[in-house]
Amino acid sequence: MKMRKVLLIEDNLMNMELATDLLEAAGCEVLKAERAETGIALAIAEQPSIILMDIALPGMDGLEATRRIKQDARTAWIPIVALTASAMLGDDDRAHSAGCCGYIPKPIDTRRFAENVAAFMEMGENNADGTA
Amino acid sequence: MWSEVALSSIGDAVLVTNDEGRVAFMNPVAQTITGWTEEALGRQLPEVFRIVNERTRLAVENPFTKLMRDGAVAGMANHSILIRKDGTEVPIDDGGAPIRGEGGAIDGVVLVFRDITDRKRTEQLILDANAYAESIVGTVREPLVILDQNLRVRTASQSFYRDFKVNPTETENQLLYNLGNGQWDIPMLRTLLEEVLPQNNQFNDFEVEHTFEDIGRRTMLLNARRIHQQGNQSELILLAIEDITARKEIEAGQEKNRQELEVIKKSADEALEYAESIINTVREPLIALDQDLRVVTASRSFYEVFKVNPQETMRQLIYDLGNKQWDIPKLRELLENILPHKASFDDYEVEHDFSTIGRRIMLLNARQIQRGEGKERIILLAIEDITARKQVENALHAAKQAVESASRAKSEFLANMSHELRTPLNSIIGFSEVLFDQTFGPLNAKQTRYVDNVLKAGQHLLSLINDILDIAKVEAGKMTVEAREFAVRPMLDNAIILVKERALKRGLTLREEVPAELMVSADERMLKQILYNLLSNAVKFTEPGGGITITAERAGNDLRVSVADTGIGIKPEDQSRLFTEFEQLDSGYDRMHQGTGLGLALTRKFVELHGGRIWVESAGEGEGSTFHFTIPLLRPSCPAPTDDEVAT
Repeated sequence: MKMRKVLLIEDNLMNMELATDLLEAAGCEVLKAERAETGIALAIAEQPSIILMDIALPGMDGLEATRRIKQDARTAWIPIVALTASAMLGDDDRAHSAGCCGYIPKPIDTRRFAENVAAFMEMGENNADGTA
Repeated sequence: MWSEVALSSIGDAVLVTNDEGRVAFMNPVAQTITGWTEEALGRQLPEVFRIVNERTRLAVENPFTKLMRDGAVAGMANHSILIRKDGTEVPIDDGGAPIRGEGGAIDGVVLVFRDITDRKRTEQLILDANAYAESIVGTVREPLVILDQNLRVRTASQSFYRDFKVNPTETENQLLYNLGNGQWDIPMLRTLLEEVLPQNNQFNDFEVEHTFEDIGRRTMLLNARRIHQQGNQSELILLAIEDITARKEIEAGQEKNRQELEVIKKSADEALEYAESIINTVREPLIALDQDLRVVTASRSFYEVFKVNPQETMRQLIYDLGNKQWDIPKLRELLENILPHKASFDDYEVEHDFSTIGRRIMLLNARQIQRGEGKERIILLAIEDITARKQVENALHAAKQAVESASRAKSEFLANMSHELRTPLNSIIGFSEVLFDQTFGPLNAKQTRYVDNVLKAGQHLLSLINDILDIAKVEAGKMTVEAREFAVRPMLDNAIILVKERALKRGLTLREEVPAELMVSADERMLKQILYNLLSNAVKFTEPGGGITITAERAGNDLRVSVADTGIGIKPEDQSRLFTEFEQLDSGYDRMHQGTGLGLALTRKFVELHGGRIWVESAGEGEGSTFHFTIPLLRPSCPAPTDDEVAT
């Protein structure tokens, strides 16, 4: 079974490290970007299996980055899961309408995090298989 | 001979015979009438003077024979027709006398006659005219009686018979006063006919009121003319009797109406006076305009508020008031465009800069009033100076906006704070959890306990943040009830699962009494949160070995849920403070296990959002407590399906 590539777009380095460690421990290859623009470029170049997108980012925010990735034919297929500490009502709706297929609130549940991410990845792969 | 000359010159025709009855002389008039000239002389009289009776057409006896026999002087007789020499006929009056000679012997006769064609024609005209007049009398609507000079009825009109219920046979030739059994013997009529008429030949419009046996009380208008008949020297009285009873009644009615109108007008005047006194007493400036928009009257407050005086106001065009300060485009539009079509307008706000009193905001109300009976219009314009009120309103509005924006800012602040706090909490909770789980290598017992403390503190902080955020959302009105219908028991089971582990750890027994068929229409997430909060508290404050009982039931139109525990109980004086923010009772309980102090406050808010209420019962310390809440079974926003909807 091939190594699954996860693209993590997150500006907080501690949270980046926590998520990376949990995912790597679950056997994923983790690509990291602190800015949306870098993340978009990595997505095009590396074709990750899934993108974990922090919504509050400096410069271009996660919602806009999601829209761009979904509009680009090269990356449109990649499932994007929103990772956000913002818990105001309607945040999940906004994430969905921007093109995210799921929503993981922060603080993350470290015991289920890798598992949840894997589930979203499978969802994306099924969709990709369906369209291929 | 002098006598012949004399006879020739007179106006009447003269014919003289000899003693044998032969024509001896004819004057020129006689020649003209008879058509005979000199050749008549010596002829027998009847040959020249051929006369027949006008009506019978029979030959009249020869006047010579008649005169010779009777010897009398015959007067002018009427109704004779003379047949002239050429056969044409001439109506004549004639007369004659014998001519006696010396010794008394008759020498002949003299006939005097005249052509009465003209008179005959005139008489016919009079007859025709009378017939005409009588036919008028017969046909006119107005009762007419024609009396002779003795006041006997010669004739009367159809309408007279009809109106006074008499018939011609008992009327004609009767003395007027005797008519209808003496009913017409009216003193006033006597006076009129016997005193007024002989003097004036007429009387006009005399009103006579009289009660008749047959027709009751009548009012009559009498007009009379005395008519001299030229022909027979007689005199007729034309009496016109108009029965004006009905008209009088109408007039009386009109008079009554007029009087009533008078009263109405008077009360209208009073009302007007009243209205004007109102105008002058009300605090609100009022101005009355005529249809040309000139000021008819203005209230005292108008003068006071707008700093003008009556002299420069009355009869002025409203736009010209106060040096044309009132020439306000909006006012023009209202008075000239809107009022003619609508007769009124309400609460038009007009802002205007007055040179004397500065910028003013006015509220205009107008009514167009029809004053009196005529077409005169009055426009009553109420001008309320709402400048001060507007300022207050604006200030209030600004304050309200400030509050709203402050509230918005607070919500935004809380959202941001929540985000900013959760980001480091993600690291605190996440790393301590990973450490505690020893995912990346073992820790000793003390390290494990320390990292557990960090984790628990992090989790407490997180629930504080969550509760604060929820309360802020409720207060900002952002928390809305999203109701749908669901079964109560599965929802309760889900809430119980969340506390079951902790309850079991503390050795508590959980009992649930909920009818399986019980349904409610509510926001499931909030209801679950309410139950979770109550259950968590019950678990937290119940000593090991105790019990918790959850019951749900229908109470009228409400769902009633109770969570009873055998725990530490609540002093009566503390029970009311329980549901307010950050009111934690001093329980001496391990602070690490205490809640945020927001749980019950939030719970109450959720219950109230559903239109329900929450309360606690506790006999006192150590006696356990029971939390109850009720919410309506049905949300008004989520009505029960109608029969139609069920059918489809």
